Amino acid sequence: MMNKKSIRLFSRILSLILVFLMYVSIFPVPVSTKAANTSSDRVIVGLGDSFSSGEGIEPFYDQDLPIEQRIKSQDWLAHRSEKAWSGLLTLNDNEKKVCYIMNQNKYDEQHPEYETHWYFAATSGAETIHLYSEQGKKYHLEVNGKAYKGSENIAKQLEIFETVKKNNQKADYVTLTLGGNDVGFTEVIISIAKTSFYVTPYKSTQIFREKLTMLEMATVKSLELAYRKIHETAGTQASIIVAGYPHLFNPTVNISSSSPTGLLINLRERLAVNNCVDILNNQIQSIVEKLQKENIDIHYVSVVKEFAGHGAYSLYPYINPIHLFPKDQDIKQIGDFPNPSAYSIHPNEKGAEAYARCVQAKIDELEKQKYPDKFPENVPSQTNPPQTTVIFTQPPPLTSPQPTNNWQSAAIDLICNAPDYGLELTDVNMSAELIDVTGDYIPEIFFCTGIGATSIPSISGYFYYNGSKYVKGTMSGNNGYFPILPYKSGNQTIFLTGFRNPEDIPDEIPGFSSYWHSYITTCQLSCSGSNINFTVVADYSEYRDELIGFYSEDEEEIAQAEQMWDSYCEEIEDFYYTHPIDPNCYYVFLNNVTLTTCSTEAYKAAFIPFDVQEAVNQYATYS
Amino acid sequence: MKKKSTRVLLTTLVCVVCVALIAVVIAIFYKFIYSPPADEDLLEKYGIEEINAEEYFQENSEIVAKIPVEDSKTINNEKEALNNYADRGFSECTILTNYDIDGNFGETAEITGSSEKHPYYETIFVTSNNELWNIMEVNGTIIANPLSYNEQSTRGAPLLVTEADTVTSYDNKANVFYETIPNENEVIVITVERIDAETLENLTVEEIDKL
Repeated sequence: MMNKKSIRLFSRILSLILVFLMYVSIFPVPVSTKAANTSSDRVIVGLGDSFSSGEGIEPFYDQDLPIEQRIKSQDWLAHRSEKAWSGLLTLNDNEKKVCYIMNQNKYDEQHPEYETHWYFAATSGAETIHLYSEQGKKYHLEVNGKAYKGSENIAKQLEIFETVKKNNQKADYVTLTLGGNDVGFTEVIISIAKTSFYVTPYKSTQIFREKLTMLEMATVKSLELAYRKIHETAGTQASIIVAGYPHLFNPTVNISSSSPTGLLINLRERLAVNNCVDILNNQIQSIVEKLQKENIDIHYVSVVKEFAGHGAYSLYPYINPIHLFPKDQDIKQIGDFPNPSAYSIHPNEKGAEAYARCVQAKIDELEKQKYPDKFPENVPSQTNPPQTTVIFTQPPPLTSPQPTNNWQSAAIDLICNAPDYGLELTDVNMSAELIDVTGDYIPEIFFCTGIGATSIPSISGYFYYNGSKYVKGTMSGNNGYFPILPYKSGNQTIFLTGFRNPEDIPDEIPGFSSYWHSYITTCQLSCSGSNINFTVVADYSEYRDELIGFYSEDEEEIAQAEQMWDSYCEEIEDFYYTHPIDPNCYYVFLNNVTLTTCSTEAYKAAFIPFDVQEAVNQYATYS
Repeated sequence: MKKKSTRVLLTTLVCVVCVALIAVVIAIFYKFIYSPPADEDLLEKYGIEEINAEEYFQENSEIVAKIPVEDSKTINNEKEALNNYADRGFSECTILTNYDIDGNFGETAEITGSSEKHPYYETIFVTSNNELWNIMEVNGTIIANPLSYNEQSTRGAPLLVTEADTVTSYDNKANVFYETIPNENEVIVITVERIDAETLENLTVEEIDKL
């Protein structure tokens, strides 16, 4: 039996519990939970600075308008490019079986009734504060002898979410780059570029010091606040993807008769700039990781590796050089010198594509996590061929052996009908020779890709991209990436290219380096035993003398350079690659195929091994 | 009642004194004890290598002379620098400096023509065919950096235009000038009789390429 004291105690405890429950019901404890995006529209919102707006990559939206209208256009003043990387991103609508390419579905305020999947608010020159305050844009230019000078305010970037909401949509993803202008990278580089390192060797480090101080004191805090604001405004259903910055300069001086060496920035200064970029990227990543621990759906994507070997003044740059004078589309063409172009030291078109690849990979990864039923990990292998017949719309000219079963036919169908799967093949002189390496029927298709760089001249039997869109495997080994990566994994699609008869392969196996891929003359593949061998023949002789000639006119120095050159060639010529044949895979060798565009989801649906069955079920026509 | 109000007053007074004491302690701390991270610390913290100017010139040039700023007889003050630039046809240009006479680096500032001396001045000159030059005055000597040329150059080293065989550089950390003959793989030097607007108008990118 409880005494009075116990009853009193018990009732006090009970009343405390009741009060607590009442409190919680009125003031619920905030928990950041991920709400599912119930909207059926797939939406990406692109925010950020010039690295996101596509500064330096013409055409900009509205650049063809008459000048009087152009200077009023937010898109033009912000230098939002039609080729900006966030516009190259794609999102699948699995229910409608459609893949949206963002820049084909941009929000147009003149036509709000148009289907929209991409809201683009990134602005050249934006700092973190411009997410929630207007950004003044001053213009001063002369067109047809008439001067136009004034300023317009670019809307606060976060206001874009009000438009998203007005359209009854919600963002699935928010992408951005931010912080570079807060630190003032471009300003630093231009300051350094106009001075002479030899005359004032400490000036650049003194400039860096100032910027590091700013980074320490201000940028970090403002970035954290910015990401929180985006999360608050975009909604918990949105995944925020923060892309970092690339190394802006190549850490070597590349002498070439056809491209500037980049002498405005000393080698030491380049390394220091790249170092500063690393510092900013590390800070950004730390902030993202801190917010992830608070259950905020935010992710960091590094682009450093993707840009490695392609900094400004490299042989194949992804970043514009410094332009000391303004370009035709610069908004400030008249001003005190130096008045460099805003295009300077910003990603070019290839750079934007590199950004898109990195961010798309993250989106694809997140999509799989969010919608796992659409991306099965394993497709059970099928031992019996399906009974249906696949009809080809464009049968390829085949050499023997002819396809012997429906799965082989399905593979050819996928290749031939590539446009339907989002692949655009041009200049195709396709003669797909099927090599059934095992003689067995195989349910999976394994493609290996070739080159991932700009076009390679005079290559036969090579697979390369027109322009610079390509599929890249993982990086390994040297700086840059290897163009040939026979790699099988759930996330990668790789093509085998340029096969030859084993009898055609020379005895020696020269190699290559991503750096010298322009000198690659042929690529050879062979099957031997249980391996596929990839070998590349490179011929540097045409370029060797030219490159050494730039070194010096001194005989001794030339001799040293020749020795260095030759030993380097020897080193890379030892390279070759073998890949064990997977008996569960079917290998298709293609010749002279140029891949120009790729809708990632359709591409993966077509070519990822475990999706083949699904792709055939979805896209093939059956009789 | 009176006792209570006195107690309240006293308590308030004690609180105010305590707050004031704390503020004084903090102020003393920041003024005399705490020092912000030294400049070198930030660079070291972030792994940015700072060059040693003496070693750099030893490795990349023949050092002809090393002159402490305080011993120099040829440094111009702002007025003299303005006249020097004007005499050479650069009167329309804005002359700037970052350094004071003690070698302290600061924000870029336009000089006013005072009697204040600076070891280094610079200006940007644009020729009539839109080529950019950075004209520097270091210890009274004029050096021209052909920015437009170096921007498009495919050579292995940047070009500088001087009036003498040597190049004068400024090390603001040690506050000294170096007169050097640079190695050609570090800097290519073109010597002209006089660096002035007329000379630079004629020294186009194409003309330099022929040299």
